[in-house]
Amino acid sequence: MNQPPSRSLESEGLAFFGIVTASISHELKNVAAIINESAGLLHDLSVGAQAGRKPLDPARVMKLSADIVRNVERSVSILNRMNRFAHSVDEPKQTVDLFALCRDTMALAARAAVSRGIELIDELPNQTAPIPSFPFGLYRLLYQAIQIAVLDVQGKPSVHLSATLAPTLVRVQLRRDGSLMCTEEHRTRREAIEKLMQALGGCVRIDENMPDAMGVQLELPTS
Amino acid sequence: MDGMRVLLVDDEEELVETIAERLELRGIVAETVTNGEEALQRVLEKPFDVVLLDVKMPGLGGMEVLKLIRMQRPNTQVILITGHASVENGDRRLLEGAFDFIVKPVDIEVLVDKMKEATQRRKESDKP
Repeated sequence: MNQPPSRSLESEGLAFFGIVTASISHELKNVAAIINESAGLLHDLSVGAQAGRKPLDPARVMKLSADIVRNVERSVSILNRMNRFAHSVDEPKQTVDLFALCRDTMALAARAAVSRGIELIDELPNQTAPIPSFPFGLYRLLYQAIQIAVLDVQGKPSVHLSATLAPTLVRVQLRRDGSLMCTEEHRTRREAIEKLMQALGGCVRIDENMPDAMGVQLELPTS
Repeated sequence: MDGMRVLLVDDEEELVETIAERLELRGIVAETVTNGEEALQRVLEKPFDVVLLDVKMPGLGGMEVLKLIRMQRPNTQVILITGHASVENGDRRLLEGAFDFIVKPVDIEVLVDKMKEATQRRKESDKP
């Protein structure tokens, strides 16, 4: 059987960018939809009150206004994340807070994970982890690591992301319950992680032969 | 339209609750659920004229729910609610047997019109 040629890191990067921005646009559409309905309901209630059908309930109005404000804040948070992600494409090697970038990537991957019924759990230390690296490469690496960890999850569907900071390296770990089936998707993602890690000068270990769990360990140098 | 039986399905609870309240102000009483499994269960429990169904949901997704509704309750009309711009741009292949679609953010008057049309279709398909 003829296999399609493997894509270069660049075209894979473009595909990754597309997946993430599509996911963000869906999230923003949901937020816009909620704001639209809350504003629409405020309008409906005002029209009803003006026509003398039912007086406006101040508590209801305040609740709807608060809903709008909360969803505007939610949209700003999504946009900030999107902005950081979009700028990362052209950024040179620089000092990056790996834990902050891990959290951003978790948020970017959360929608895809949730669509599979899987919760991503943040167990990262509450500190910074500065490392010299390429932000876009790190986004891709972490996203792929999360994707491999959410493959074929059975039972309790959660993936835990934790990390330790040593003098010369940062170790990021993803673990989940349930063994991993070796599928084509798994092989493709594994190859992608290995290629990315090679480009970023770190090393990766994927524990896939444990009977009832699997883990991904990423080690990146701090200097 | 009197007695329209409507089910709203979206994982954004705030969204379905607010749409339900706006529909109620227009004389349409709608039930709400926030996932595909519950939606299917509710549809099997009792007949609905129209199900407004979000395409992207955790667990059982909208397209899977649509297929199951088509099998179990073929006369129930499904309106897909989506943020997918391809549908908005006219790629109706994505509808997969749904009565129609509506794009987020929802225009409530457009939604009400579509629901009325869907209910009419439902009544016609019930005729022997």
